[in-house]
Amino acid sequence: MGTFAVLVDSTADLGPEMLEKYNIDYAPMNYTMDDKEYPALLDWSIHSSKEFYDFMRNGIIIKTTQVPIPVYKEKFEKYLKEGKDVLYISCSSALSGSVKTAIPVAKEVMAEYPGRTIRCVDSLISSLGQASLAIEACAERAKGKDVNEVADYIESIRLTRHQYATVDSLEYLKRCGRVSAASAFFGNFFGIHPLIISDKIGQNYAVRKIKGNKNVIPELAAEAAKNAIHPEEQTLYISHADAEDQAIALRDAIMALAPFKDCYISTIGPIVGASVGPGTIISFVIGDEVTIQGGES
Amino acid sequence: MNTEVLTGGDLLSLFTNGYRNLKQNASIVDALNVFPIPDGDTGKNMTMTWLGGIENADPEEASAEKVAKAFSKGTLLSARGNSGVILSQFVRGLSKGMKGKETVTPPDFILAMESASERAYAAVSVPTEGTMLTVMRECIGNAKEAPDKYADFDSLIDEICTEMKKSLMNTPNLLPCLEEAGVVDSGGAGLLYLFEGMQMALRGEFLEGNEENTETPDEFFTPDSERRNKMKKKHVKYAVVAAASGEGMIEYFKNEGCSAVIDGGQTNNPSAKAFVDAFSTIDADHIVVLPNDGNIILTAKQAAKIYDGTDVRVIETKSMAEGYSAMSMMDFSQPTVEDFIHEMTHYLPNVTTGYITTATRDANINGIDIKEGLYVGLTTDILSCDADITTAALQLFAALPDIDDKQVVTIFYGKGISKDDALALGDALESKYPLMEFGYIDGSMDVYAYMFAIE
Repeated sequence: MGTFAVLVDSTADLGPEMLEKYNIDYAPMNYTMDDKEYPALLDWSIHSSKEFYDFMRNGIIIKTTQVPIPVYKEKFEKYLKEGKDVLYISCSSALSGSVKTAIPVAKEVMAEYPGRTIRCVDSLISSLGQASLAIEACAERAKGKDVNEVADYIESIRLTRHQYATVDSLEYLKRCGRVSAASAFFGNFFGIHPLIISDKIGQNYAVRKIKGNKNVIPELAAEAAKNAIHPEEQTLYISHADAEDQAIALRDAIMALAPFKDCYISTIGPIVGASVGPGTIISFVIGDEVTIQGGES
Repeated sequence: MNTEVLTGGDLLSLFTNGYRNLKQNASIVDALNVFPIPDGDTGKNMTMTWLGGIENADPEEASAEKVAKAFSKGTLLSARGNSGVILSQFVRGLSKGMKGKETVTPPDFILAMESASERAYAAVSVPTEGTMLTVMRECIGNAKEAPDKYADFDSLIDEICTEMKKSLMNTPNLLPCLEEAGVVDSGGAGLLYLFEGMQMALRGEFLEGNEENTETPDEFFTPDSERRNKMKKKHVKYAVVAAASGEGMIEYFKNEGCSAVIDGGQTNNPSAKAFVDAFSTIDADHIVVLPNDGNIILTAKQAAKIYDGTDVRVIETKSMAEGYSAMSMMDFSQPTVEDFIHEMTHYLPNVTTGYITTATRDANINGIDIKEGLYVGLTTDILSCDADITTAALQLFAALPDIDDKQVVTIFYGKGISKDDALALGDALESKYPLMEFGYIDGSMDVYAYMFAIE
């Protein structure tokens, strides 16, 4: 399949069929529940997605941890041993320390395999935004480019991924410190739904308030359609945390405004899921480079 | 314990006491966590990481080198979180520094600490100062200068702890996000607890039991950053001033972002002077006023005209429910005052304010038979009356012509109404209107049993 492996991590939210289709591997992070630790697998073979999000609905606190060093070592060594290079497209560094851990490990492993290359690219986004960069990397690989060319390319286009998301409750993002917001966002108000983007440094930024349930999907759809460039050439990516009906409604609302080539819908995996909470829906489209930057989280 | 040289067993008992001290204080460390991701788990991550080292070391082993090596391997495998990864690399360096040592002397330990701090820096692609890395490096600053000065570990670990604390207290000066939050670095604090635990062991104080400390020591906060910020009149772009009545409502408007709240009292409406006085305490480019009562709008407008300190605008909210709705959409990041006001007002036409109160006399209004002492439901008109408060509320909602377009109901409950009462009323409304979202706020209003913001 080419000279290098494309690696993501648990936050890429790609289902097993997509991982297989594009030949993408991932380094699992971990989640902890009731003091027990589990690898965050994207095939939901430990807890089903329904079980997982029901745990959260029932108030069970799920903590997440970055990719452990030995997992990176094993993944990197596996491919270098096979004579392949590795392109690792990581979760945004504003959301996980993983990529910062991966870089020194990659250096160490590379020293043992002279001539081989591991590139760690900070995607500055997560979920299917991160996945869509990996899929694009596979397309570039298929053109015969080498790992450095593709890594440079992905680095140059990573900020074109736009995220338009909303969560049922900001509590989860707040608790784990993974959102920044315009001031006065987190007040004790009811019926306020945040529109959350991924800003230019890869942090979640609650950029606008939407009042009332019924207004959420139309407003998300309008933003996504407005900012997508050449939708007819793009796949629309939508991920959801056990909210498939909402995801489908969002797809239909966006498609009615902008004719995307096709749409891929997946379930948000355990890591992103633990941060955003059940009921979250996220859409990703390709547009101009993101320039907005939120305040300190 | 002979504290001039440490055997493998001594090392492990020091590390174990360090672990127990950290574990007792883990929630404090969690609470300090603001960098790089404020997810409040530094204490737990460091504790679990360090525990992995203890569990992997053989308590019968006498060789310092072997204990350190096993300890290091254990922490590498159990490392979690940024702080845990850095700590595991620190231990790895410590273990490398003890290579070939059956026992360890104070100068050996100083060299090992140097190697530990170097290794920790190397573990991070872009080391940040003001974090546990800084604390790891600086704590041996003095000891490194004169490694032979220390006759035993008591004096060496005392010195390290003193320097470590100094370094930790300085972290807010190095890392702006710590200064802003007014705390010292969490990972550095975790490290200090580990070493203070070792210090206790050297003094023969071995920790046992599972007590947990949760009160963050004052010294972990920057001396007066919080207070300083509160006391300084801070310049802002936009400030909001509201009038409100009922202690719960006044408190609520204060907590949710108003710079000043004027007591709108039911019988004594506030004077223009009360507004002007409130404006003069605020340093803002624009002040936006929420009068929250039809009888106060004119006074607020007059005050806005009189006051020449800054630009003052009035949003004509006729009820506290409208004021609440406007505040809920407040966004201080808006570029202009027009945008700021637009965000607060564009849902306002959609807000209906409902009240439940007690009838003070018999009457017949709009064909509704009102009896003194019964509950009446009203908007600007009386729309329901019943002996049962829930029925009065349900009839009030049913009488609203656009009730099917409403999406959010916030229930403010008055003096003498408990949250459970409010929840029971809300349940009855929710079963009638299952698609609406309901919220509850203790308003402690004097006159109304309930006020509803129906949006």
